[in-house]
Amino acid sequence: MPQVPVTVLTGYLGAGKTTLLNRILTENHGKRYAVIVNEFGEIGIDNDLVVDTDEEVFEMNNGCICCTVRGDLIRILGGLMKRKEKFDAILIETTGLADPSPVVQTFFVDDDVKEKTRLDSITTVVDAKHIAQRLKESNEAVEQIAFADQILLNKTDLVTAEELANVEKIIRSLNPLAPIHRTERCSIDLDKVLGQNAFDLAHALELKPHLLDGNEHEHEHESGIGSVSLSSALPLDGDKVTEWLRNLLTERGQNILRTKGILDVKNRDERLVFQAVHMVMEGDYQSAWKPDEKRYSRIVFIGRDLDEAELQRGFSACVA
Amino acid sequence: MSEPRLTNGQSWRFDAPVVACVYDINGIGAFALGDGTLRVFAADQPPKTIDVHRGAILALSAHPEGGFLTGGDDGRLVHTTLGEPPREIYAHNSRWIDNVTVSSESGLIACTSGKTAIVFQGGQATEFTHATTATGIAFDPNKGRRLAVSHYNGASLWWAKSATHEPKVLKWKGSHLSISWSPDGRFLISSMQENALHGWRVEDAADMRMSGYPSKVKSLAWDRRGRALFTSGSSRVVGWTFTGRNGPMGREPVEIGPDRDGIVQVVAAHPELDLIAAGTSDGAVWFEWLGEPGANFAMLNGAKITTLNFSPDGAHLAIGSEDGFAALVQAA
Repeated sequence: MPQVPVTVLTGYLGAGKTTLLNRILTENHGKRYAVIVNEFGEIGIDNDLVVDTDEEVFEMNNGCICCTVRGDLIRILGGLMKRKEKFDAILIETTGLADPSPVVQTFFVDDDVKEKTRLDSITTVVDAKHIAQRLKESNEAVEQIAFADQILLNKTDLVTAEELANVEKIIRSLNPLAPIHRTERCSIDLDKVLGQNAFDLAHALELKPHLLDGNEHEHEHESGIGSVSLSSALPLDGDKVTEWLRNLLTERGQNILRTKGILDVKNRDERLVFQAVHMVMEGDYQSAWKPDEKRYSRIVFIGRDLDEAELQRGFSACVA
Repeated sequence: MSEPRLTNGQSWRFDAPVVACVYDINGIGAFALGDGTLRVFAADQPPKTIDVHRGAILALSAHPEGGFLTGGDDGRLVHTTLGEPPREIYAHNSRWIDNVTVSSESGLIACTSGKTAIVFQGGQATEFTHATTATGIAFDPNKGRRLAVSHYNGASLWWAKSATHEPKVLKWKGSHLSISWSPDGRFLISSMQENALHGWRVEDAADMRMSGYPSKVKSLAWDRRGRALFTSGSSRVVGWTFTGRNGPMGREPVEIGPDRDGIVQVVAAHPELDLIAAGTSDGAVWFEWLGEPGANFAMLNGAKITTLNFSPDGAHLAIGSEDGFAALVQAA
């Protein structure tokens, strides 16, 4: 049975999440969506389903200090899977002040959720007019951008071209990977937002082969959140790199928000594609390198107070 | 889709997942489905379809007065008896009713809706609210006057007829997903998010940990004498002994049934015999006599089994699965 794609919608209060949700619920798109919201107050609109929930962030007793999950989502996703009709996609709205990690970790940690659904993307709606100010005031606003797999840069009609370019520069300093869609009143073809498989780096790279290029210089935002991109043309030792990443994320995972990478492992014809949210990592060997393809390894870290020199040393030591 | 292999029984294919099955006090059985219907079956007749909920049925129990009690994702609690239109007991406009339970001793019925457990008696509803979602409910087996509710970081014990008191709180860190009383009322067992069970001895709240499962424990079945608890969550059925003051503490659990690739999803204990039935993630259903290793397979090659229930006379086992396949087979 195919897994239902799930989009996690984050964004500061007033950025335009509700506008996007209303569009999804009212437009004649011919798809069946379930939308999980906080305090929506209504249930069941036309073909779609709205589920009202309270965000319940639970700690896991698995010895991983930053491993929290959304208990309410585990229950609701399980309930949705009991329905006769299957959904084309599920959207989860998080409150403006929410840290996105528990909702994302839920998709790594819970076996039932993993079996029936897959995380399609973390989509962050950003208000072009007010984001610069929000980022100064709110740590959550910073993290929501750093976490994103894609960004809807909304209210672009309310700013000048110069302001817009500046906002994009700020976003890039926090997150070099996420594609940015410029919108007015969240007006965008829903097919460009939902079912993009943006969480899956291998797929994202198929669409945009140079996504990871051009970020050789690390960026850092004034909040201390920034990114480091590492690359190698030499094949890596599979055991060494796995151990290095595991240790690194165990020790520093609280400050490393997202990690994505594609690795050329010695004696393997397939590329090792992995990604992590804080300490929780998953990865596997995916499509094979083509015979004439130039092999490479590349890892991007997004996090707080990243030490590029230390990361580079650890990475270099993994060359086979 | 290949048809499951079934020995010795009849089967149906419904077009929605089978969520639960139960027999009512008159021996009439019902499957609850993800399309909001009950499929009610009595001896040798094809199941009768009754539309009860608008979305999926999430919880099913036998009503103490006969018929069936269901909770749905349409926010309704409904009593359905054959030959009468379903009767709505309670409705909430935006919260699911995801647990229902009853006590044949006290005649009380209860459900959960978000953080609230609601007890109904003679048209009167009493609400018990918790800090986090009420994930499971159960009345005590002796008089049916105490209601246990599982939630985050433990369980609460309420006197079911009055909400104007503080509950006795049984604490244990973590997310508790369901709750079950031992048949003698001495122990409460919860299943947890972390592939483990937690138990409390009710008299002194002493803790018991039952861990080592490879996956979440979703189904608990007490043997008819209340001496053992049989559980899902592993490739075999795991049984814990509850004789003596300390229950399973300091004793190794027993494992029952074949060691297969699929994980046991549901366990049922025969009402009169030392017979255990189990249904697995890869669509197998088997019986095994306690103390006599060697399983008889009733079904193979189906979808994930979601529910099993012996008929009250012990003659049949009702089976439901995730893809809508349902069956009634001879027990043993």
